[in-house]
Amino acid sequence: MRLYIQLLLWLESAVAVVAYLTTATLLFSQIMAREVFATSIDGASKIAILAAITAGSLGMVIATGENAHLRPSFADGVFRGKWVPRLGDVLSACVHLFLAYFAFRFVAETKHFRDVVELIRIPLWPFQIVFPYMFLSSAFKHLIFAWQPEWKPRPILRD
Amino acid sequence: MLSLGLIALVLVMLALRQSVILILLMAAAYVHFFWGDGEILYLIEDMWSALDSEVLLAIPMFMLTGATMATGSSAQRLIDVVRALTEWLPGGMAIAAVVSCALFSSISGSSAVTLLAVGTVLYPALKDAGYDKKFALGSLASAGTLGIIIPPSIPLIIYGIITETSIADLFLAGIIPGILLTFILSFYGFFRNRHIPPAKFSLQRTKVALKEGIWALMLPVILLGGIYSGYFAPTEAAAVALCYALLVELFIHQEFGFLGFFGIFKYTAQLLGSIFPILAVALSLKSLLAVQGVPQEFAAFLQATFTSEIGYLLAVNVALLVVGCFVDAIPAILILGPLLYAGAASFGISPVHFGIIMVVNLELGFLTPPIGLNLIVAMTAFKEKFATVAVSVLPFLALMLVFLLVVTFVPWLSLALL
Repeated sequence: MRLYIQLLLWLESAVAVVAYLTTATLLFSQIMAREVFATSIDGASKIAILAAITAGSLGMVIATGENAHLRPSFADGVFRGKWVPRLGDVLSACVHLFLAYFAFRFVAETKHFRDVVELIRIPLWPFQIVFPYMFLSSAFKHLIFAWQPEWKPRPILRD
Repeated sequence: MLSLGLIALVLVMLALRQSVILILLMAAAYVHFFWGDGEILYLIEDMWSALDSEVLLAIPMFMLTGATMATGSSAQRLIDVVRALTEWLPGGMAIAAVVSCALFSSISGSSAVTLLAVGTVLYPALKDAGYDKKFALGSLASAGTLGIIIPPSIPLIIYGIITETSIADLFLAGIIPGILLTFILSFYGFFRNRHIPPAKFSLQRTKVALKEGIWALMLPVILLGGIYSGYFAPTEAAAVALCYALLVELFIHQEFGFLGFFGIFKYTAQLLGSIFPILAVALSLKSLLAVQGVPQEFAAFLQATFTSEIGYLLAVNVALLVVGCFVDAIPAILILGPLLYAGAASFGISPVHFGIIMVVNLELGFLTPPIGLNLIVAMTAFKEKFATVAVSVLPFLALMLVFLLVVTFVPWLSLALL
């Protein structure tokens, strides 16, 4: 199970890396097209934005998997006991599942109304799938941490 | 009653060890449900709309650039250049520490990364050269915070997005205060260590250092030059900077291969993963608050409470200094930015000047207990006690407080280049 989770995290990281590379490549290509060839690439910035949203959303999943989210710890002493971190993870999973429900409704509405990506006119909903996935995958990771607290990495310090 | 419910929700989530993101998400869902249109779906829609913006692309691009340059050997090369140029002065290595942090922060955009990259090289060097340990700790921890104000600064980008202020103007506005603070900290380093005999100036050493460091030194020039010559928008400049950084580190410095490259992008994705949802929720809440007229009401309340601009700015400074002790700079800007800015606007304060005031205030928060990030990073990196690091930054904090007051009450410093 642990191997499966690590593999999933690696896969999510790989997609996020590719998405950021896509963003950078498209933005740079757009500048080159404008400055060198005096033309523009239709929809490049729109796809760059969608790629960045994909990477950012997967980034949230990666941050959950690596326990890197900001967490205020000043109220940690209110409830004491070994069960508190587990209960915290179960609650986090529930919140994520609650939000995943609304994220699914959001994507369903976009599909229902046949919303398309501006300029390139392709369906928008496949890009939006990353939102419910973000909440579902995060919920899954919190449930795993509640089940096996020793698999939860130590918090990461950063700005 | 509804407000009490919101406070209770936040308190219970804090006690049950929830992350800032989840607390914000639930608080936003609560606000949408009870004060909005009673539909939580709108929160998700607003989050998507908030992220669906080209301006936001500058944040990942600048962060990736900083991470790429920090992982390679750029920090060492920049430090070599600065040391060669300053060590012949009395207290030269102290000056080198501050200037290296200033230069490196103009690449990395991150205070903690700057402190780690420069500190790991210069902390042992300062101690070996006879500089007082407390001074070395305080100097590096304090100069490490320069990253928040010297462009490209991520907190300034965030402030620009949340208050709809020009990011290019904010970058320009950060230049003079950034240079002034670098000068103040350098002068203190010189004055405190003027008794330490300087090294001899070596033209050969300077030439070699410049030759090795020229690629790293060119990045801020390309970045800011591109923006202010009108070639690129800030977002485009960030993409160009990233491509330049990758070219330099992969093909010129040849410091890392594919795995290193993957690691940098993954690290940045994770970092952004804990910022983007906060950004999305904050922008979503901002829209809802604007519809409800909350910023206008808050501004009216502030105008009734504070009769003068000076009183308001002093109160903002005190409030932000306290907030900075407990809250990270980015969430603080996202949550308080729109409300405090509404108050500032009612007193006729320039949004650009107010952005610099906010960011300088929160810069001090990097050095104040209990969660001053640079204190914690310095403690971990230099293996010193938290109390030792906290005491070591006190003279620097005093100088930075004076600097904050100067920046607050001399708007020219922020607005001169606009």
